[in-house]
Amino acid sequence: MTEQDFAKISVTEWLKQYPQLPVVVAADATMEEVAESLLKENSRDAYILDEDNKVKGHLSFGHVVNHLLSEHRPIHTHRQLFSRVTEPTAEEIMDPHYTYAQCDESLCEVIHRQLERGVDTLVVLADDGKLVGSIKLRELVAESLK
Amino acid sequence: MMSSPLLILGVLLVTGLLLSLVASRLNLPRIAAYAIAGLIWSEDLLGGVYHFDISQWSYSLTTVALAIIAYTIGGSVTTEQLRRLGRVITFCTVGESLGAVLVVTLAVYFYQPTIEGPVWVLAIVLGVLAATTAPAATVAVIHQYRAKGPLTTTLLGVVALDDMFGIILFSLMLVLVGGANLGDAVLTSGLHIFGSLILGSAMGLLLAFFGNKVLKQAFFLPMVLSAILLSQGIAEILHVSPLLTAIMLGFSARSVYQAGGERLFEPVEYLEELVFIIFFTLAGAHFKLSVFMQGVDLVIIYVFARVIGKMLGIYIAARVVSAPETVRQYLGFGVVPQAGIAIGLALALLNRPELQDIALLVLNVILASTLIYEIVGPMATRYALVKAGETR
Repeated sequence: MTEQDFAKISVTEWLKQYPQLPVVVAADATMEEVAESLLKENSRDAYILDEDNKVKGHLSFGHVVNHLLSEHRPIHTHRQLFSRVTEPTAEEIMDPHYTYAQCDESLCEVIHRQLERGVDTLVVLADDGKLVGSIKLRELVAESLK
Repeated sequence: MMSSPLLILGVLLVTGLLLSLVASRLNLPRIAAYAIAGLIWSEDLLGGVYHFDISQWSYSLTTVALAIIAYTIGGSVTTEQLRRLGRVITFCTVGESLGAVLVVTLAVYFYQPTIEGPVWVLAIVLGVLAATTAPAATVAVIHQYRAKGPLTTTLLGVVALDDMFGIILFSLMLVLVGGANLGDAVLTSGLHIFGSLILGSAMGLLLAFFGNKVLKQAFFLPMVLSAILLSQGIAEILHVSPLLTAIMLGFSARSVYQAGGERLFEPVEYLEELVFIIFFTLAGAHFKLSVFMQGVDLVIIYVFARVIGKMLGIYIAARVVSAPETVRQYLGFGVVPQAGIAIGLALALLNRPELQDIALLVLNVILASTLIYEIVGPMATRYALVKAGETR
């Protein structure tokens, strides 16, 4: 599949072919719980939702592991020290400025965004900001190799 | 006279970096290497030969460097995290910090060293400088011995928190000693502190607001540095405490921005090593043998009194909050190291007109005692962790 082919496919069409949701964790989940969820689903991205099914923030696997295995780090900043001692929840370390795709976009635009921000699982949001699905980079790559 | 500040700074930094490479090969502390690099270019050695003049410009550099550290420390913790630290860590931090301040102040005051100016000012300045510790040295020992347990956790919390406490105490001390008399000092200090909190909070809110608007990672470092510089400039014009302003800037930005604050703090945290090289090389370059010889006895008093004060303070605080036995007995040994922040604060005294008589003496005392703590501190921390049975 070429770039022109991806440009013709919309996110909505892609989701019909690959319907799936991202890994969602509770706001008060511990780092161990987030890491377990990510390992279980073999994903590198987790998201936190609010009660209206809107995405509050994003957690990357690297970010979570950085907190989880902080005792293996020989140097800590003050921020890392406090974080290590107080054991943060998922909500406390999530990035509220996550990147996302919208239903009417073409896949071509989405791939560029995923590569630029280093996100494997990109959330897709409806016009009202509610979560409707996700796009996995590995599936896009697999499709492009066909 | 070599008057190019950029050339002098470049020479200091390059010498510091080269010596730190040698130090890492020989497994010696790198901050000692930075200090020795500065020492080489001090007035008594090569700095005298090449007529290095650092007094004209080092103040601005120290102010900015200290503001960066204060900003990162202010933003290192949220109110929720402070609440979760718990009574043991909070009480022990207050205990060891105030214990060191009190014992050092009293020891220096009753020793009555021969100096120009009032002894009580020197006693209070050295006392307040005794509060901070060196988290880097403590974390390195904990990592080396893979320590884990109640003492380790408490120690990590205490060394993180006492630097913030130490900087706040230092800011208050500067405001107090700046007053013409006690009544004036109390009145103006209230205004200065209140002004710093308002200014820092307002700047923090603005920084967080723009932080939420900007998405490009590359903009965060210039944005944060601009906020720090602007807040320092306004603090200077308004005659409020620049350090308190910087702490409050970080604290309020982190509180409003929420969620870890990586974007607002990580880019500046990368500058910490550069800041410490600047602190130690500048402090080394300010070394003066004649001043040091005048203060050798003060170094001994400071080193012992600070350790005694910290241990006493922790013992009392730990008893009050019924801390675990290992914390009560050994935490005091863990907080012996002292390094960069104390040096930075001591450097900041050099441009205070009301402290002109003692600033250089204080800097030399702190520099010498830091080097002693750099050797003794890690050994004391290791002793505490081993005795508490938390090493592996």
